[in-house]
Amino acid sequence: MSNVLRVKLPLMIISIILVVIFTEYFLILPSSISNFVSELQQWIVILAAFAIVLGAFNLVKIHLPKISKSKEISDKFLNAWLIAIMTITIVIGLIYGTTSSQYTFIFTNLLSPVSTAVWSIMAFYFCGAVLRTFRARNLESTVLIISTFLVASGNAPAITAFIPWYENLKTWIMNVPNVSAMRGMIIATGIGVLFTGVKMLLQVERRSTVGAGE
Amino acid sequence: MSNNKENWLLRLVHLDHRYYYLVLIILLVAPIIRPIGLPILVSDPTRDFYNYVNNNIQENDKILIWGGMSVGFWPTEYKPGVIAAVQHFFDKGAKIYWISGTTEDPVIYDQYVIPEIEKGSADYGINYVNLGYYSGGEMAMSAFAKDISSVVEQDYYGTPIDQLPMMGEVSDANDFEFIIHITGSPPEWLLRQYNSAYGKDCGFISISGMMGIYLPYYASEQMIGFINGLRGGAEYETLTGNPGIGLASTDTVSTGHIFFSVLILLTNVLYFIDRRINKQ
Repeated sequence: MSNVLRVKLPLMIISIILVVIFTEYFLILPSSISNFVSELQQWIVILAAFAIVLGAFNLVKIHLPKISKSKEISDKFLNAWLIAIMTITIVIGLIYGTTSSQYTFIFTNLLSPVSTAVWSIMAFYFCGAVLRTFRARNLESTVLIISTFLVASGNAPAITAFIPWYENLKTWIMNVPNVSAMRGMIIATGIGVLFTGVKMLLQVERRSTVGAGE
Repeated sequence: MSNNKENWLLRLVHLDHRYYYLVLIILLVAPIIRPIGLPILVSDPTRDFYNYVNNNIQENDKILIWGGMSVGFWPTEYKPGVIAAVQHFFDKGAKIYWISGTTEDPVIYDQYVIPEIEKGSADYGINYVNLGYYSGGEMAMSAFAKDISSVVEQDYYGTPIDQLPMMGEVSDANDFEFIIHITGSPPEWLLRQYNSAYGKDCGFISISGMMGIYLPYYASEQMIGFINGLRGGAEYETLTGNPGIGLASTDTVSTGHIFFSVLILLTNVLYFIDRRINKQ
């Protein structure tokens, strides 16, 4: 494939679309351009839907060979289990629809309790983290531990209800040091995104078409 | 320090972590079995969210909810806040347009939210609607804000939107009085596409871990307020005067957080004692 088709044309399309979407966000443009932007956004909605299908195929591509290649019987079983459950859910969704009682049975009796259990385990991960790593070994970790202690204890409704000034202390930590640091991060990220946009506009940012190594 | 005390402390330092996990389980389960009824203070973001809805939302006002929930967080993070807020919207007589940005969200709305709400005389398609899942994240939000009919052709149940009376009353973001995002992600998408672009009032229902990320936007008044996780839900229940699962679970929040705070203190005290003993 020629360099024009492989690199220059995609970069040109990216630049044009970037300019159109950027200006459409800030300015009132003729309806034909607004309609074009709306059309592009609908394409993204459709492309994102395809990405889900791609994800499902990718999952099968990775886990199907593992059923035969895995040495451990538990690995074989878990890979087969993943493929089986995914296939059953997709087939039921396609045949009966996502509002059917069969589909909602899977959702409420399988996905819901399992997902909830997985997230609930986070409490034990946090407990384990405190037991293994939360040590005031230097100044930075001491500051982190003190602020974690104050915010965690300040989040206990019972403590703030009985010691009202403690709520003010927690609120101060969240509203002053936290907000200042977060604002700095948000602004830095925003500037970074802006410069990436400018690089794409000027076709300096070429990794999307030529790869990171070139 | 006597040898006995040193031995006792050393044993505590090297205690099997499973004993701590056992204490955590007891502290989380016991208040559910036997509630203590510990009090709760209402935080500013929750109070502002409630006051906005209470003072500004009138009958037949249109509220757009972008649902981004995952079912794993439903019972422990979203449920109290979502149920209390949606019930408040219904009580105010608002029309609720619910659209989902995650695959699990429309099922959660259909199976867990709507059955729990006292709907009064509200009817599906006239007062509330479930528009289903749309992929694309921020771009889907943007496309919906510009032209609803270009994104949505039918609701979650497959009914064409021209057969739903309330869908005839909205065409773009300008037709909504209040926009809400229920999400465990940062708030930028909604704020960019509805607050910055259309000047719409935005509120959030989030998971508790997001508080630090939401506060800068709340402080700059880009968002009206937010209901933060289980505690925020309990606060909203307090404000609406309808105690529910949030207030019932407040004791667990208290015991859990106090346990972690004590554990942080304890592990560090033991760390320094252990270090001193090793030096000796």
